[in-house]
Amino acid sequence: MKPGLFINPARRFSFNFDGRKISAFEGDTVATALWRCGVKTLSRSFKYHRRRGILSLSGADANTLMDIDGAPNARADQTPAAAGMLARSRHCVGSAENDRLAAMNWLSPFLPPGFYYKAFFRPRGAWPLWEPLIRRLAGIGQVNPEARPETIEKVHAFCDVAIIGGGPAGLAAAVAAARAGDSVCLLDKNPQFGGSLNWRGGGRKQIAAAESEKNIRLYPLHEATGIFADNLIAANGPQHSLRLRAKKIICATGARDTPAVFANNDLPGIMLISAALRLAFLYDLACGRRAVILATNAADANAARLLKNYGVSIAAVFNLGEKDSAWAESLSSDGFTVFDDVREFSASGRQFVSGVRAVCGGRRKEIACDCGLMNGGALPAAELPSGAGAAAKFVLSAGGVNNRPAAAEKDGEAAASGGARPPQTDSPANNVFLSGGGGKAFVDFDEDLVLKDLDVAIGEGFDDVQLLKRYTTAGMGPSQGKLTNMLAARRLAKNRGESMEDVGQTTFRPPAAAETLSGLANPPRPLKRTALDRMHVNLAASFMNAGVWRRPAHYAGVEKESLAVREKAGIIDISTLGKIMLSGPDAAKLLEHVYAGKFAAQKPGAVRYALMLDESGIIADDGVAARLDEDRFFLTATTGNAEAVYRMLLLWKARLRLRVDLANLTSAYAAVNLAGPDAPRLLAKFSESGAELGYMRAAEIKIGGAPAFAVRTGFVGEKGFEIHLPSGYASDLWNALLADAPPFGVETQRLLRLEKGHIIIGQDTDGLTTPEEADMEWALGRDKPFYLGKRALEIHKKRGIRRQLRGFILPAHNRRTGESDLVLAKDGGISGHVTSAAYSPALGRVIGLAFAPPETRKTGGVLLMRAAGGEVMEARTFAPPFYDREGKRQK
Amino acid sequence: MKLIPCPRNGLRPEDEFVRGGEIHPMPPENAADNEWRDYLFFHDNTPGEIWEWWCHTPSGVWFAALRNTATDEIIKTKSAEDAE
Repeated sequence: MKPGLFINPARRFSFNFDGRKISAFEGDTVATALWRCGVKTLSRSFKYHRRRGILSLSGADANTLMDIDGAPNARADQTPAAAGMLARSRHCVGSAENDRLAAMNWLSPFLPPGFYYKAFFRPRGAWPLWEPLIRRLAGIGQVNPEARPETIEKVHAFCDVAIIGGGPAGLAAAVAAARAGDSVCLLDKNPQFGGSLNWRGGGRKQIAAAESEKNIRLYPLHEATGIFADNLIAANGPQHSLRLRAKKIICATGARDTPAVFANNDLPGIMLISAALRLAFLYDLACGRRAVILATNAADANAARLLKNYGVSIAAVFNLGEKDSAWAESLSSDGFTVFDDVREFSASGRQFVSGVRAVCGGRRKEIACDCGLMNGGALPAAELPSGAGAAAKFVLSAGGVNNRPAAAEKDGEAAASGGARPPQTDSPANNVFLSGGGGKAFVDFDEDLVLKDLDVAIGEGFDDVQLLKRYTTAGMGPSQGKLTNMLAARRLAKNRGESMEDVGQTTFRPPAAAETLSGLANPPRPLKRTALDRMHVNLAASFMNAGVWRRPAHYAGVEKESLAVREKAGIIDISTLGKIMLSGPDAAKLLEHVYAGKFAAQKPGAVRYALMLDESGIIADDGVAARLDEDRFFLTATTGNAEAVYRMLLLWKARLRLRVDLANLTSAYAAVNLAGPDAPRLLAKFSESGAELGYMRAAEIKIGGAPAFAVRTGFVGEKGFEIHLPSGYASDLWNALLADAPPFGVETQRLLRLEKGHIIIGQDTDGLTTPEEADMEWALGRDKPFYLGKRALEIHKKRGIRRQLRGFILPAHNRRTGESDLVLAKDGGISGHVTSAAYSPALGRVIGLAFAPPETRKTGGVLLMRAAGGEVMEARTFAPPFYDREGKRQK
Repeated sequence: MKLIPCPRNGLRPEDEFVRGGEIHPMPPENAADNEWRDYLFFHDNTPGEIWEWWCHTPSGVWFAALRNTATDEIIKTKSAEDAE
């Protein structure tokens, strides 16, 4: 094994940490670059502001969290260093090196577990007063309000077998599956495959095999964060988020060393044995000059040899595992100093570990060192399968996987051929809780939990593994107990005198690693554009969002456009309307069932208003139905409900087994509404038969040779022709009409229809509006035996209504329009609200629609309305239409 | 994100589907008000296997699916025409 696999010392650059210039090699992480420059304090701890340094060097602890380039809580041991980076330590006032809150450490006797609950939650209401101070002391990273919004793309991939973890087991599984003909995706969070082979040693031929295998897609730098329903893996990759769907998933995530618990086990310089190996063989960094090792198993013994060969002098190896085990004896015979029967153990040092004291077999030992390496037993990295609901059985694996690549390969091959097996069980350290030495012995480094805290909590009766976790917050820190959940469970088992199986364990839940919000959010969806969108851009329209569409709000101003429509003619792009063709002998039957109106006796060529209710009698949508001939209807739906209406028709078609064919033409057809007194004359240039259509009549016409539907309506209160035609022909029609009929936008249309008192579903109605409330009972088919919502309306009728839509007019001097202004009752309470309001140039007044108590007179009543600012206005009710009351203009 | 078996299109991702709610037999028009109220608003919601409407939106295919609401497993499906 060549030291420094990940780095390239030929390329150097520098970045900034807490105001200090740090030089790094290409391939360094922020944490290793800091170590290279002698910076060993990466952060201050959560509660006591103790110095914290490298612990796992694999992203499994919170010691390395810092703000990097504006990203709060980035893991410095997982973040590649880059030139010019700006990194800041956290949990400190000043810097990690000089933290003005370091005195918190001496307050610890006053901070028992449950301290916050005990001290700050009484009397009731006290917590909000304390919270800001405590939050500041605890420090949970800084949100940067000036951070750039970022979009993380989602990349989707599919395969037969997905393997998480590219160590010996994962590589073997990948090669075996690929050779059996499966397509394989192999994910590893590191920049290179090999896993522990890269720092514990072992045959590298599987790495080469996997890299040359055609059926294997390699995903380096992809950290899986969760496994979800039907084998969906979520993983964070560089600059994107991967969603990988597999027929089969193999978790080959290996095992982690866990800390031993002894006084001052958090001093910088004390780290997991595997972290020291990673430092040496991935980054060519020595953990120190003189190390003391707390070892549990044969893998640890092998690590001692590797580190010695690398150049670290091993002062002593303390055996926490079985006494007289073969690996300990072989270390002794190789000349290592090995101590068995460890009764007491503690570390000391001011800023950094400088020595250890121990009692072994009744003999006192005092050894100087500059690093302490520990492993209290290897723990399978099982958070992904556990989070996915795989049977969470207590398993503590002592390096079985890590230590024997050959065995791991066998496991991997077995998994690939279907014989997956759970992580191996091995004996962990006999006693991972070592007393002596005075000083804090940490169980959970994230949350600053010491052994005493656990004992106090268990003593207070929180002696269930779930209660213990929630009361002490063990395992609830940023690393989610990856290293420490098992320690808490073991302590509980020990204090209760039970087995680990009886104590059980808590469940991991995704994400297994931190997610950014941008990684979870979907990128903003582009708005849909109609076939005429380019025309609107050329006309310098001011756009608005209408549901999923981008539509012109207006071009030349609402007032000017509305007058043009009233005086001559105007055109509006209404392509966003839902357009559904129903053909078949049962077309009318389907409409009769789903819509409240009557269609069975509708004559070919006639157009009828169509109001849809849901089963509870609430207004769901509206449109018009044009009967083209006996068996065919052309139906429109509102912009926002086009898809839902089409689906509703499909459902009832199937449920009633009707002989009708439904075609959703919404996207295939564009539509233009040509409206105004001049409209017939203008349309005559394109279609004589279209121009001759009477009010509420429809016909199939040709526009420029294309088949089109002309529907003669009066939505905006003038003679209007809705011309629905294949999208490709729309711009020719639009451009030809433009000379005589200026375009008008959605806002203008809203004003024009308001002048006629026509409601807009979703604006003038809400999720509780019945036809009676909307004063639209005229749209219900009388004597119809059935339509959706009919039976519910009968019940509504018995209950009566508490509000009804009223038209209103504001006094002449008032030009302020306030949609959603409140309607006040006599006693000053709220009795309704304004649903639509606009200044009508035709009337010279602000007009609108509002929900008001039903007893309010339809015309001539008084409505008190309160604007958002508190101003109260008096409006007169007025039964619509406001404009052209006889309806002559539209006919 | 789940995979859902569409009887016509096979296994497709969940986001191509729209759920149409539990399938309840609609009471006759002359049923009592209470019966209609229960049909519209009072649903059992007991975790377990229920028949639901699902629509595969790209193809517009409605079907009925027997889904276990406790485990989110779809046990079987049948076409909308055969659902009731």
